[in-house]
Amino acid sequence: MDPLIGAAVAGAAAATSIVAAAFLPLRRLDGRILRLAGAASIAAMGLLAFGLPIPAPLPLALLLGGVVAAFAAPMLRPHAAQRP
Amino acid sequence: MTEDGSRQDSGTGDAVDRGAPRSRERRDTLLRTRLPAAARGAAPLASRRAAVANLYLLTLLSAVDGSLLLLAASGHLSTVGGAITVGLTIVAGAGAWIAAAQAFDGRPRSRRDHATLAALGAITVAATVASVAIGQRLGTAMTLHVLPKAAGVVLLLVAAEVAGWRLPRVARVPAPVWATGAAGILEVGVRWIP
Repeated sequence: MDPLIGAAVAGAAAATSIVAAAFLPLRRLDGRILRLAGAASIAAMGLLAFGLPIPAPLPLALLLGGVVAAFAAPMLRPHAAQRP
Repeated sequence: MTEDGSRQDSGTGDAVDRGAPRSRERRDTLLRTRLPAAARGAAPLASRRAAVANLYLLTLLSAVDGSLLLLAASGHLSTVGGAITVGLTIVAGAGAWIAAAQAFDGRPRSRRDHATLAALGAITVAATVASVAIGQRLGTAMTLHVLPKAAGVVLLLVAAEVAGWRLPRVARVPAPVWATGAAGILEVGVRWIP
């Protein structure tokens, strides 16, 4: 695939995810977990760029897993979620 | 509201007194309209604009700090899976999603909000394509030795900042940008080595 087409795909995927984040109730999730998952996914991309033999889906899996964990964490801590 | 109460209110609420004389019912309606809005605690306009500006910054940062350029030069956007991974983790990512939630969550979905999001989407795609075009030209114009590895270093620095570490800044320029510049200088310098 031509890298410019790949860039358009990457930009469209990013824009779609940001628009979805604007309309979804992301305030209900744990921002700290989401931020750490984002950092882990970027670090995994960095190691992939280094040429280390890590699985290619790992960065995306870390990010999406972090989103799930960030949604689940407030539900598992009802007292924390009820704090003002 | 009594006649005394309305006289007292007319001393403090200028909007009630200006213009043509209003009936008591219209004054009461105006007060009822204003008070709930004031008591709602809606975020001030300046902070909402700052949240939208932060969203633009976080989304376009990857095109500016060189990480996207370096990834393109290394060939990480040549597959659909790789492109989607780069888009979600590097171009967007947790920081941009949190910023989008802070900028738009809980607010009315006005036309202005839709226009802002549409503009952000268009600018994101354009900036990503432009950055990759520059990286692609670099990759085809010369054999890169330092820049592909530097992409890893830059991304690790970005990851540290996203995680909340305070990296040193020189002249207000973030560390990842300095790393990209240093990698470019090294890449040029390597060519001078016989």
